[in-house]
Amino acid sequence: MVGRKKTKDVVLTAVWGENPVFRQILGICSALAVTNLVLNTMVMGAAVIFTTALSGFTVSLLRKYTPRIIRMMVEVLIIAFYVILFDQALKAYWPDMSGNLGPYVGLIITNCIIMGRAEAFANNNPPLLSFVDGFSSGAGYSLVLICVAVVRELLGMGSLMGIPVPFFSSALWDRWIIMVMPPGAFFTLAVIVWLARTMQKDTEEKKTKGSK
Amino acid sequence: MEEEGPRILSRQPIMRRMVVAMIPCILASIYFFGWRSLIIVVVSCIVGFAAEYFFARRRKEPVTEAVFVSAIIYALIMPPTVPWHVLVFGMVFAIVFGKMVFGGFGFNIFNPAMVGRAFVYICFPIALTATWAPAAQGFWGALGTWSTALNPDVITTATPMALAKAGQAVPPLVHLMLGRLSGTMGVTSVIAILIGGGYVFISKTANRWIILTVISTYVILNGLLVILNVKVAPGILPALFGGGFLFGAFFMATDPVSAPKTHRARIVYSVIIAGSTVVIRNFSVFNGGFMFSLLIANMFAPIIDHAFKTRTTGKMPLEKDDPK
Amino acid sequence: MSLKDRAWFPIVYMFGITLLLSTILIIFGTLTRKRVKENETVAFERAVLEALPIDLPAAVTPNQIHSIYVSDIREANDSSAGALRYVKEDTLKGFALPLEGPGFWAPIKGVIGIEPDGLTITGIAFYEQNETPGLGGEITKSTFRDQFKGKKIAETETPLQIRNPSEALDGSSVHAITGATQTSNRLAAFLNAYLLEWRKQRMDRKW
Repeated sequence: MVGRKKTKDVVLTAVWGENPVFRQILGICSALAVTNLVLNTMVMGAAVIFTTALSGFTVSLLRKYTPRIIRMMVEVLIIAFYVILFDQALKAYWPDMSGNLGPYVGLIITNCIIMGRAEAFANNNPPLLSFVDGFSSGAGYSLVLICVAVVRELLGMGSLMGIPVPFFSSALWDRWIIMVMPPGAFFTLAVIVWLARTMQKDTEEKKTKGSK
Repeated sequence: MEEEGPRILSRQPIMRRMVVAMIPCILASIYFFGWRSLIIVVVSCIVGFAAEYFFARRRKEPVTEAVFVSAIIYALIMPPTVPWHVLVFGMVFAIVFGKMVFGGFGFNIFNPAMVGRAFVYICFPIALTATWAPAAQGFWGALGTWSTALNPDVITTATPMALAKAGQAVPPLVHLMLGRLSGTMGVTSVIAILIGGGYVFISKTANRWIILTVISTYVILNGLLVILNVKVAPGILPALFGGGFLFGAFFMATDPVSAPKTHRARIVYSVIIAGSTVVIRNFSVFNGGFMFSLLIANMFAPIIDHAFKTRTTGKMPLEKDDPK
Repeated sequence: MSLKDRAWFPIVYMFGITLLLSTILIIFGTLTRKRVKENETVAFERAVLEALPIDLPAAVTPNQIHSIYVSDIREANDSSAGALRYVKEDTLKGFALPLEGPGFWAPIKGVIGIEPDGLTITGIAFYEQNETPGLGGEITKSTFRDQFKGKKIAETETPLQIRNPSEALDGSSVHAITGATQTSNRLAAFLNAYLLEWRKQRMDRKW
């Protein structure tokens, strides 16, 4: 059985300590493409969580039987399976959102976070723990993306989740057109990574000082 | 040039001469568009200084005088009607993202003033391109007014470059020479630019080769367009005198930090600037031809330098920087 | 030698996994195919109804849209020159001309509604586009679309102009979306091409 402490460690590492986006700078392409609206980003985040968690689980389940030489093929296959499943479900039950996200749901297959977790974690860990790890990595990714999306939607369109925000949607606020366009994501992401790293550095320094 | 010490400002004689050279443009801007222009320049300088100071203080470095050059250039390529928040925001962006994140003066790959201008141009297209204040008429110009934009009858006039884009007639050359037309603050008057530009050229403050190559390539390419009878081309002189091309050639392409460091690389760099300006001005939807060209050329500057350096090593000693 | 070490095992294993996963996908795909198809049809039908002067209830269901469409919209015939016809109580109430052309990122597909006189526009709607949200994506918003209502198709080479927001408007022009020059230009290009072609075909048929 998975120890509670181990699980907690896995979650914390994935969400904060080794956050895929701002520690490892992985999966940036989709971060740029879909983050101009919070709602789109949330669905995208949900899709990534769904895929990382379940693909981690499945890869881990099969890890004892999969021959090493074809393990990557199997991993890609499993990831693609979940992504297509999600994409089809979206097409059938939420066509508007499917239209908004366009090809980016399908591109989750190539998101290196998922493959990375399958390779680095699910291959050597039990299924449940891999599920938790995948889920947390996906959540860490979504968290950063949602932060970017909040900034972009607020500054660029004056709304959040499509609801106008008082000051930002009024004439007093000059909408930042660049935030709606892909370059806006570069700047926002850079600033967020900057802030997060600065915060992490502070805590690291405190830790080392405390141990002395 | 770089004196260390517990001072707030480092002394940079080249940058001081650049500031002096831009005074005619500032005066022209006040003359044509009113006293608001002066305040725009001052505000840019204060904001630019503050932004750089914020970073330089942490690194325990002095603020470079180059920041004032960037700030003045940035102010001069803004429309006279620029809203204050746009001005301040672009200036902060120019210094922080155009300069300080790369490591401060000497390390920036892009011309900071252009970074700021490109950012606000894309971010606030309405404020920067929709309305243009007209230039004041009469002998005293706008010396008695705060801003010509307050005159409500004539608030939207297109710039010569926008007119050329729309296929309409460009104002007569005399107006282009004097600068009595709408456009960005400091770059409408060819005479003022030539006075300041002549000073940097003669005093060798700016690299002469860059100035000459940029202008001559641009003239040749525009001449070719005219000879080939391309419909979009406005002709050689209007193209040369319009839209701040000369200002860019004298004051921005020659920025010693973002331009290449070797002689032959500088020639290639200048050709890239002039060539892509011709392409963007005549064949694209954007008006900011020189702005994008300069940023593109900035991007290639290090690699051009590198190409010429590696080619020469082994055969002869590294090419010496020609004296400024 | 265990099963896993045999040379054929990876191939069979891969084959097995692929078979299993694709079977699940195919089953799921078959289950949802009908729904996906319906979604696409309803999106088109909704665009047609929105472009025509038909009052749709605020919370209209896909089924309602489909039934209105089936009862009121007729196929194109000779006189409509490729446009769908809106017929109510046996009188022609309007045309709905489907449009399609390149946008900034991906093709834009829409419908423009025209009154029986063949000149006055009743509305425009888009059922497929992937423009930048907040910029080009605003073409689907009513602020942009409502401008088209009541505009006349001019007898010129550009029957409907999409102009810069700072320019004045006349009876056959609308304002572009600020900050989305590319989307507006491309939309104007194919919209005008369709309107020209439509007008030409109708002329040919009439006389």
